[in-house]
Amino acid sequence: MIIWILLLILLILSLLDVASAQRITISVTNRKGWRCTEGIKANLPKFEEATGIKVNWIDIPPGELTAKTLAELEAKTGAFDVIMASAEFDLAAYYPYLLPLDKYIIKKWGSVANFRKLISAQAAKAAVWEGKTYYIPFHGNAQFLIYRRALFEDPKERSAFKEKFGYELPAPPKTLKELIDVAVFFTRPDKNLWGLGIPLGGKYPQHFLEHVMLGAGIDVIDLNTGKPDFATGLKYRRAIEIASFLNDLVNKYKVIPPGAKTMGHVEMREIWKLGQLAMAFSWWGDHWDVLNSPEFVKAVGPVGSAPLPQWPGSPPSRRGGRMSIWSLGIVNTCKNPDAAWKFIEWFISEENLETEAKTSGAASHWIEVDKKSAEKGFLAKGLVESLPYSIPPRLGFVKQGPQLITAFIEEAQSMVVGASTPKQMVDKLLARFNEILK
Amino acid sequence: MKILRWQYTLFILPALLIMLIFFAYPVILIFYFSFLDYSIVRHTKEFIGLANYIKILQSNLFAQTAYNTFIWVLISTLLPLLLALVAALLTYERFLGYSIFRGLFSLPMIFIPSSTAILWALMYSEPFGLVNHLMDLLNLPRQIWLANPSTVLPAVSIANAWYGTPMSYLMILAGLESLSTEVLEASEVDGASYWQKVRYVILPMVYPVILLVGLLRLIDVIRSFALIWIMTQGGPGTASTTLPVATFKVSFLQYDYGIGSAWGVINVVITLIISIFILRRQRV
Repeated sequence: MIIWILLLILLILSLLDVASAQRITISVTNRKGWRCTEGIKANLPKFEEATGIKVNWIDIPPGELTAKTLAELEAKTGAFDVIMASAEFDLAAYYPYLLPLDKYIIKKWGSVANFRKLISAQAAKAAVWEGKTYYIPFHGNAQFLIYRRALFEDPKERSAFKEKFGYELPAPPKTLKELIDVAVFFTRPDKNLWGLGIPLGGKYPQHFLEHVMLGAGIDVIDLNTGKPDFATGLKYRRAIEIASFLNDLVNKYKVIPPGAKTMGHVEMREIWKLGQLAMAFSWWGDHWDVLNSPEFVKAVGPVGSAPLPQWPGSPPSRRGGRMSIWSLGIVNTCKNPDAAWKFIEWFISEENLETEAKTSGAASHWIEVDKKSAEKGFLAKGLVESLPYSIPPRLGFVKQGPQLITAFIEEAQSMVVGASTPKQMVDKLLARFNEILK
Repeated sequence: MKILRWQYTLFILPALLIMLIFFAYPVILIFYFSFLDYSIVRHTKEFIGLANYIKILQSNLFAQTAYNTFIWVLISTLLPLLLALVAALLTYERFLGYSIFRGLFSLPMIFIPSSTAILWALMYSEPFGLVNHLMDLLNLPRQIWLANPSTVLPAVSIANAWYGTPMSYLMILAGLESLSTEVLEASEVDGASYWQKVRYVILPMVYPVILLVGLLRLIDVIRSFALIWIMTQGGPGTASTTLPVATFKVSFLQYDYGIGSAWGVINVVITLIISIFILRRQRV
């Protein structure tokens, strides 16, 4: 009798196991700890319940995401079904390993053209490689300026500023001259207050320079010729001026806290919270909700935001500088592409993209969703005014992108710490770019 | 039952197979990749002979990296060795509180390199760090230790030395404790002072241990990566890029497995040459 009962239990367990094995599972990569996808992750059970598809959500540390994804794709391990890709250079690197999504897009939106009308022009361009659509965007961001409104509205500060500079304290600064004046005005090292926080550790000096260069009409790499576009003439001179601008902020005007040279934007956010900054520039779209949280507002008051003033004489269509685009794609070894597509459809649902905006402050590149998120106050004014006028880094669209970016980061760092002058930086960068692209 | 020679071979076969799969195969693969133009971003995989090695050896980065590695190895090996030797000489004759001292002195050993890196990065931090508070106390100007090309390498090397000293200390201490007490007593009977005892008796006797500790430390340092990567990522610029950091950058930030493998092979060859040189000296 006991043996029969045991056999029955075994049979039930094995049937259960077969049932669970038959359930479709898809593996999805995610930037570990990324605030923008945390809200969407929390919604996952709803998707699994509605579709019966199990999602293996794989968190990979940001610094390892591209390397791990590429290694798995190259080895064709089938470890991932849906991957997350950034416009920094993942898009160019991943697409040969991905499935064209055109048939799914046509099924859902009627035509690829219809789909492209729904998303921003830059995201639509970045989605297509060799005539096929590989990527569906879900995240958009741009670097912008934040400022302490209470400090800028303080009558004493306003009259002191007017007395010193002869014009009203601009809130926010609209030209680079105003930006420097305001930063100089608020820089009071004895009170541990600095005019302008720009993270300058790691990749951040390059992000700043590239933002200003793209905004000034310098593509860094001309995608038509595949060569640097700042090698001669006006763009060469402008590149040096832009490098000098950053160098002067750090070393001449000394408006940036010295410790910024080893900081990323999370550390800069903490310096902000300590009330040591009047203005700060970085990827604040990922942190907008934190900057507006009661804890932060209590510490430093309400936060205002605006685009960084554009380089004088530059095309207004570029005034937003550098944007980021994050997209989803389906790996071509995926055994259940239909399930993977269902996941993507769910991921970019209005509810999820609004959750992303609400829980971080990031946009999505989906025009209608971003419009609504802005109206509901989830997005910073600085982001709303920058994103439509920004472009993704051109370096990400060439195959030597990773080498070029490494060279750019190293040379930008060297200049910031005083190991090279702005002109030397630009000349070295050109020499290294030409060597890499040879 | 007599076991034949070939049967012994059979017994070690599983271990040999594991070695071949997990050790020999990756090593051979790295050597093979180093002769390829193999980039998973440019999607190339073709044989180019020694071109990767020539490119590396002719680059400015190699000269800078070799210099950085030399400084990094020098400070990270010699400083802990010196500190460990002094501490071991002061404590090998047991005293009250010996166990507590040994425990406290060995504490850094329990940290993993990433924790050590974060701890020291915070200590060197410009606004909050302990080191700059000490500079304030001494009326010296604050430094941005990890963002200054002239201080970054000594700064990370000191962090590494802090991490490496306890192990060297315990090994040298074990060496000292195993010395023959008769010889030491004889030197005392002959009227040797403490310093003469150390200089003419203890150090010559413990020399092979110090050499071995130094060699192990050197091999550990020359291939260490995590600490320096977490603290500086090889920057600012390339001011703290060592051979393993360059290998990582090329392989996993530029996704060039061919040239990255060549950097790795150069790293291995340099470590091998130094190790053989020191081991030969030890034999002499």
